[in-house]
Amino acid sequence: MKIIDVNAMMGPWMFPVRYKDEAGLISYLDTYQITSAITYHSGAKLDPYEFNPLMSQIAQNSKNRISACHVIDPILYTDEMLNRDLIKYKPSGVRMFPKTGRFILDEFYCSHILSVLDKLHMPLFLDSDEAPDHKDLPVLAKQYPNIPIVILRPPFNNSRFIVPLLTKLDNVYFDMSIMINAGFLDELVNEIKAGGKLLFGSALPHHVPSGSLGMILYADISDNAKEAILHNNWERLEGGICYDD
Amino acid sequence: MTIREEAYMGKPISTFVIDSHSHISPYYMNGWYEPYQLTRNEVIVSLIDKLGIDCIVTAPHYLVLGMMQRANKTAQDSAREFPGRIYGYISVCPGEDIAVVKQELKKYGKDPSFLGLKFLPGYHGQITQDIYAYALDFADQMRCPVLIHTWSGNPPLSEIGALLDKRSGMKLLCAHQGGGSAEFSKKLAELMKGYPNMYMELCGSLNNTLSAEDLVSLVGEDRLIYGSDLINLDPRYDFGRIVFSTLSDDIKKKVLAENYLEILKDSHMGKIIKGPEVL
Repeated sequence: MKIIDVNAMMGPWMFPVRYKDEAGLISYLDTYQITSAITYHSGAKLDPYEFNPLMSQIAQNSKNRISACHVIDPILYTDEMLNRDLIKYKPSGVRMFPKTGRFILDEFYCSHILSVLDKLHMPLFLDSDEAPDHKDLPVLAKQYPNIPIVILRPPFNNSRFIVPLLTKLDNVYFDMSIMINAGFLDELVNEIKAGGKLLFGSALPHHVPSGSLGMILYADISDNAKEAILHNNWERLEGGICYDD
Repeated sequence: MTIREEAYMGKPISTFVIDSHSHISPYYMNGWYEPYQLTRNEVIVSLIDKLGIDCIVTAPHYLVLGMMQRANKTAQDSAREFPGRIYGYISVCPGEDIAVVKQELKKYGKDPSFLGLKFLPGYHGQITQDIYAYALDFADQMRCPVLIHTWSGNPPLSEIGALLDKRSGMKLLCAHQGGGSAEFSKKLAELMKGYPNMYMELCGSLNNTLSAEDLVSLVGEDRLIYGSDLINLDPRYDFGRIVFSTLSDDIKKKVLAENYLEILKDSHMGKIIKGPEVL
């Protein structure tokens, strides 16, 4: 069984966490039988210039267990710098933290970033509590239709937002890990036909993936749908990145 | 085959499992959502069959809006419809007149399909209300479990613990690992040291950074009890927290059923029945 985790972190943290280095991450991936993890380095929130390249280096040396996700702060990059760095280091995605980073992720404030991501078809990861609010997200997704926007860990009781976002926008994706309104995951896949836009995330090292594994491995959906969520959907997004252009 | 191996294959696990925290019937208030077909008992039973959950103990959702009599009648009817698969808690709603509460406790306290009581303080105001005190005294006499909601300190854990100061017969299941986060789980664990008849119930742990292994370390393998919050929450999440954990099968069996059976042993309310056997 192949499992790709789209939501992992490594590096220092303010509080005790389960691991900090790549060996610790890989040990947890082994424990939960996870094939590989899209991972950002916490240090890149402090200094992306130092820790994004380091994350790519760690990924390169990990024998395909870790893929790099770069952290982007809009004030630290011009469009040319970002384009150059992404092409040089080839991360599998980027992550932004608008709320804690005190910026607004929209065209007015971040067009220099978003235009590069759109050109590269670069997956953009946003924690649900960092993402633009549900009113602004459709605007962003429509303005930059080539950016797969992945919302991580949407909490329960967001069903009335999630269904329209999944069905009316082609480029909005959700991590299903704590999408735990009863039966909602099955309904999204079987009835709403949105299974192609769901991904699996662990939130390691802050959380362990056992509950999310329960959600997907016991889901009342086809094996193909499980495979899609566990790895195929992500591989499609990653394969769509246009580094060669 | 271990429980974990069964789980990785997506098979119903073969050990006995009791879901100690469930709410059947529809619930669409406050942003809650479940597919409507899942509000039917036969669909719920089909769902738990796929996991290997043998039975649920339930306080139907009418409880939330203070519809005590309807909640209890629904639980009774459901237990009749699925004997051995659905058991009830007597829902206690402080918005009702005390006479109604007394009548409901008397009526359902004798029904063997009811195993204990369920309180929803926070939603229903303070845990210190007189009606709760009356129901707690009833539970103490019956030596039965009382499942008490708390979330993020509402109601405060100290007030919940104090309920046991003069009640050593009842068993208090503190829901949601004490309040849904590591901070409250640690506070509950401290409190439990002073109350041997207090237990931690697991459900709603999605934002708790503590793993099942951590919770067992905090409160001990004999005092953590599996519950799901079905059909508010999907039973597969907290079930996964146990079955995919690295805990031993012996500990998993305790959390999934044995600890709950233990607290029912000297209860004067209903018991769980497996085939011809009273557990």
